[in-house]
Amino acid sequence: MRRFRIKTDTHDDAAAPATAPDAWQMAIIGEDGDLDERSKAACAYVRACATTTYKLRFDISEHKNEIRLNGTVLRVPALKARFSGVKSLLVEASSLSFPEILYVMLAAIEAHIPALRFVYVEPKEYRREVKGRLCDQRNFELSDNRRFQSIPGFQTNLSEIEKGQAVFFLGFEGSRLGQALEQQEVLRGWAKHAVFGVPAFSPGWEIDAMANNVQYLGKSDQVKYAAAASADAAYRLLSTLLEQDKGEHPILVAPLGTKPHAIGAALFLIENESMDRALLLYDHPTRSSGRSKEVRRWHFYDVTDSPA
Amino acid sequence: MRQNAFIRNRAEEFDRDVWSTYVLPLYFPQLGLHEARKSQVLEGGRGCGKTALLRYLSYPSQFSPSRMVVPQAAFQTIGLYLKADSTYFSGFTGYGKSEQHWQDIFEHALCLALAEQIVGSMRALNCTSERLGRYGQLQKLDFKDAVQGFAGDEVPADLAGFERWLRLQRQLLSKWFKNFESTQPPTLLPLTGFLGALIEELRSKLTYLSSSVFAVYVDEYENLLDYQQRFVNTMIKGGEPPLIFHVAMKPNGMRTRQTIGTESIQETADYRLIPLDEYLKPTFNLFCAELFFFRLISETELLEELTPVSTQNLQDAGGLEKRKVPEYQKRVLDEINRILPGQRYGVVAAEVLRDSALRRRWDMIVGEALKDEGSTLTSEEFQNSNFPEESVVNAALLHQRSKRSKEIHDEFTNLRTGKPSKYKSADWTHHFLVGTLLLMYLPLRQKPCPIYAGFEAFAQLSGTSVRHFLELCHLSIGDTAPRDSLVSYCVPVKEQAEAAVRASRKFRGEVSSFGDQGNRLLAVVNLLGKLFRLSHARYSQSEAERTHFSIVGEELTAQADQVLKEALKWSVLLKVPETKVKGNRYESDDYILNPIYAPFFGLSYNKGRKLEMPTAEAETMLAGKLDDFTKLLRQYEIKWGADSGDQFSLGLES
Repeated sequence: MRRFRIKTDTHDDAAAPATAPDAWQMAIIGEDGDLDERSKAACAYVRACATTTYKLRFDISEHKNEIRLNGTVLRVPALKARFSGVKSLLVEASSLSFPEILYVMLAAIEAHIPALRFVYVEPKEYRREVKGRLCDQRNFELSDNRRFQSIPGFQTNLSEIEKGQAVFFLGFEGSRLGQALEQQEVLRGWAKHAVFGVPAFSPGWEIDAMANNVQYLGKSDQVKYAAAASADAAYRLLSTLLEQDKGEHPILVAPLGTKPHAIGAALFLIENESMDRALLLYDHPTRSSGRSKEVRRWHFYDVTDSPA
Repeated sequence: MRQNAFIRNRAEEFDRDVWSTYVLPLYFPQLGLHEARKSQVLEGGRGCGKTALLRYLSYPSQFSPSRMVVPQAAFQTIGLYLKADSTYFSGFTGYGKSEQHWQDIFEHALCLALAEQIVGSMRALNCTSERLGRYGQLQKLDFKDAVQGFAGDEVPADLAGFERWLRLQRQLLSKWFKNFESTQPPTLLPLTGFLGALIEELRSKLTYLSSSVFAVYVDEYENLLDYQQRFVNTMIKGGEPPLIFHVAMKPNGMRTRQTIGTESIQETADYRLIPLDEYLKPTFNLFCAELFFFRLISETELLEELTPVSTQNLQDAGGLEKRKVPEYQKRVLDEINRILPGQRYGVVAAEVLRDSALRRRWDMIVGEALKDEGSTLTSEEFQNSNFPEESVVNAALLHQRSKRSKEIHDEFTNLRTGKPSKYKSADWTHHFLVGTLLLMYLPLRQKPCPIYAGFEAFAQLSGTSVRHFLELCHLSIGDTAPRDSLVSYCVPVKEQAEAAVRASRKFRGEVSSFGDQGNRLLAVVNLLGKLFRLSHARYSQSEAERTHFSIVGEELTAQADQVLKEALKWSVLLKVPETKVKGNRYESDDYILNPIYAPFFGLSYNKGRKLEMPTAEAETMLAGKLDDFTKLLRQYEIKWGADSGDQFSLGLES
């Protein structure tokens, strides 16, 4: 029996859905909410729907590893305390990084917020860097520097634990998988799954993702598919792998693909992390501004918790 | 048995115990690591064999069950291998906790890992009943007595109990990581005191270890955070028997020499720096050839007698002298050159005249020059199948402004009629042949240039990366390696050349996964590849090919310098020994683009002329916008008068 239920709703229009002021008691948006058009639209929508909106940031620069809420440094228990008594929380995922989604989700679930919704807005297209043809044609310039680095609360020394399965959710940037395998050579001995977003947000995008990652996949690696927009598909895929492994080996999750997949992966981590079955591998890309153009459609994910 | 002898090209793909798979490099005795009582810092580029070496020196290999006799010398230094897991250790920071706090936790984690290794070494040494009978005496050990004073909870006295206790401590640390707030921190162990007491217990109770020294090999030291490097530096500074720390790292991996105290560590006084690439270079070709045959024997079960090598000599230090004998080396190199033959330039040139697509290109370039000059001579008059090299070179000569077609034709006639000619006396052939051959092949990407084939070419393309060499073998040989005889075995030139281009494309593609700055490093490789290509894209070949560069003018900004250091760290660029006399102006070291990228860009792998790059241009390359790259390339295109627009339609991105 899986712990979380995810109800999905899609608004198939570029224009924002109708807003209802004070429909949500609290909202969380990213500090980088103005990076691209869809993040701006999403943050504006969320602000219009919530009584209070907070900006959240997980900052790894200069090895700080700190969470800031409206500029104030705090840790997960303090975040949970902030959420205590809150009846409804709206989280704008387009502008949040994976660790930010994970920490907000963890604190919200531990604070037993009854209504928890994530918003994700798809861009119409991503920026491709083809000028002068100095980058690979299929290389969408989404992020700059990054390094796989563990985050507080989710630290595991892979060299010290038994081998298990590694699940990589993949997007356009093949170098992220390449770097994971370069930096974590211990994973060479693990069973690996590459998950692509199929159906993709836009037909053909999956080909770019596959073309850019294929060089890093080995013959024995499994390729899997989960709808790019489905947080539930990602959550179910991971949960099924866990249930099928009677040997109870660890499952390492690398959410390098779509944001909805990241939401599903975060739920899986929260559900299984305490038992050491689920581990995180993440590379903290610095997102470049203007990396996508316009808005395509809106997704809403309502998460309900039924702890065992 | 494996289908492909060369598919595994990283130490990480082998077990910790490499006793039966490791080939000793010829420089091995120079290291003196077995006897070292001072710290050693092993510095080497990607793929030069650092990890394999450290694993060979560590106890899982030295005390391997497959080692029939463990000599006394193996007890003198017991190697403990520790890899700096960058994902894990880089998370030991921030979260509102002080650096001192994280340092204590790092020390504790390191201490636990090493204590487990020390205990593991005892298990490995006594892994058979025969060894247990000979060494054993493990029941004498009393761990409680040795280390109880450092621990919070009760330490079991016996070995098995102590192993469980160590595992539990690790789990407690892990549990605490998951919940800093509500879990009590574990009792943190002081590394030197705890390990010192543990080692003392072993030395005093087990007579066979009475003079043993434990050597810690920290691999991938460059991945440690600054305060973690300072801690390891402190161990280097204060290391003395029976516990010594050695580290292995990529170039520029030591970001700080500070210790956690006020002192810093100094080369010579505190450690010996071992530049592994330089140690490897003089015998790299022989080592590659030996490894080639060793892999065929060990992975495809080819009979050793059918090869020129002896696995015993390759794996045993006693065989090193035999491997230095010139006759042996000649035998090995002759055999590999036979199996991986190159093609003489004359043959490559003949192919240009014979192949229809290449010949069309030659005709076009020659025809264009004759037309521009208004010459009445025909292209046919500049080719002769008996003189393919000179015929090919004619294509470049005819485009050189200082020479008229008549003069060239006269010289060509002299050559054909056996008279002295400038092809030899003025070194025309020598100067222009390789460049012209590459020029002929360049736009025809489906036809890999045969100059990249051959063992010698493979070795040069590999630099000092054994991994690159193995990949070249893997791609050219695939599953076709013979298992019964080498007598008639020879890898076709075409397949080797194709493999060189494929390996080159593969390794270029990997660059974007090189650390924090991977995307930038790939852009640097692409820019330099194209720039060097432009330098001899002129039909006349009157610009010498640039193969390396230095930065002149001002010093780089910190941001650009950081990228340059990353490029060196990942061996995207290699620093070449100084060739210049510096004047008053600032000039950096010389840097060469890793030769493995040469086939992809159609560059030669021999050293050509240096490009002196002004600082502003280097800044653009290392820290500027991609848009500015194109401007930079255009500038050089004009400056070098590159012909025909080949360079911007090279299809290099595919």
